[in-house]
Amino acid sequence: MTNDKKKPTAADVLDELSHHAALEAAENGKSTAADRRWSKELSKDVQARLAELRRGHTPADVPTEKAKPLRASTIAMGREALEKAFAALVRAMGGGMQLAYRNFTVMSDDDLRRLYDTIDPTNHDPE
Amino acid sequence: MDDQHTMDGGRQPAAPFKPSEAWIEAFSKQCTDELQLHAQRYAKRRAQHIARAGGHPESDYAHVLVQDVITDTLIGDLKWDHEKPLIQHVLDSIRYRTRHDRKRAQRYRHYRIDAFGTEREPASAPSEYEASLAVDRCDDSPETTRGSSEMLSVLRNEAVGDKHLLAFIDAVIDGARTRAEIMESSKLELKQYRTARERLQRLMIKLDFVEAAPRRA
Repeated sequence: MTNDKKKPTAADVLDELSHHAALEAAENGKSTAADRRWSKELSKDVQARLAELRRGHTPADVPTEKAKPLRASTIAMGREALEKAFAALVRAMGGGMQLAYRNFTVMSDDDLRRLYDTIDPTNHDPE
Repeated sequence: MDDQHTMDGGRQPAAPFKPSEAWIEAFSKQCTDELQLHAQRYAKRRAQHIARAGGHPESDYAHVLVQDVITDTLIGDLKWDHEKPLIQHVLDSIRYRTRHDRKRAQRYRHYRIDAFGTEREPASAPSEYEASLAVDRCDDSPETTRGSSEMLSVLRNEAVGDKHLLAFIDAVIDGARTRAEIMESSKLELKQYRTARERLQRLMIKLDFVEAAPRRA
């Protein structure tokens, strides 16, 4: 072990002994209330910087997919026809569909047409 | 550091530090209040090592030093391998920097030392720690070498009568560094090693006081 090593200088030995004394203080010493307050503040700064680093992993530019044009048959439908067709479609799916919308009466005609075209399985291009 | 040279000889800033998500999570998990306090207690004791060499560390030296090391790691100036414990990286960095400050204190005695004012190598990674020993040796003047020898002699004389502490010190003089090496060289059991280390700390505090007293007068 130590036979292979170059004999340390006095400064090296003092540094090593100081290191071991400091390890002892670190492991078994006590911190003051002021030290604990300092640590809390430092932790806030650390968390802020970590949040910044995490944001670096969020893609800045998420590619947006352009919506398909609405079908002419859907555009031609009035509100009443649209609601009926929509209700029929949902029934046909037998509860296999969940929608985030709670109140369809406040949806505009165009939004309802878009939703209808989106969920209608016959409107999907074969891949 | 990581600065890149431009064609006209100027320097452009390095690319922003962008650690992996695993790195961020490991840092977040390990950089607790307890780690910071542990490191601060270590740095505070090491500051005494600087004072012993004639330097005057500022009262907030230990706090600033720990903050500095953590910040430098978070901006990528200090490289941390997240597969290894963060505490080891922080303590190694503090040790490296306090050694640097001690050398400076020996050269310019009574110079005020603060953790910001040091002209450090920017990427003072722990891996450079070993190499720094060799450099430090070259920097030793006859006066600082004599001072260190005298200090070590005082320390050893004070330990006479405490066979475990003396064995600890002699093991380090013989070249042992890690706990395992010291225990092997000194033939100390773990409990004896721990007691010796505790006594070493107390002795160094006592000598700090004796050493520092004339300077305060």
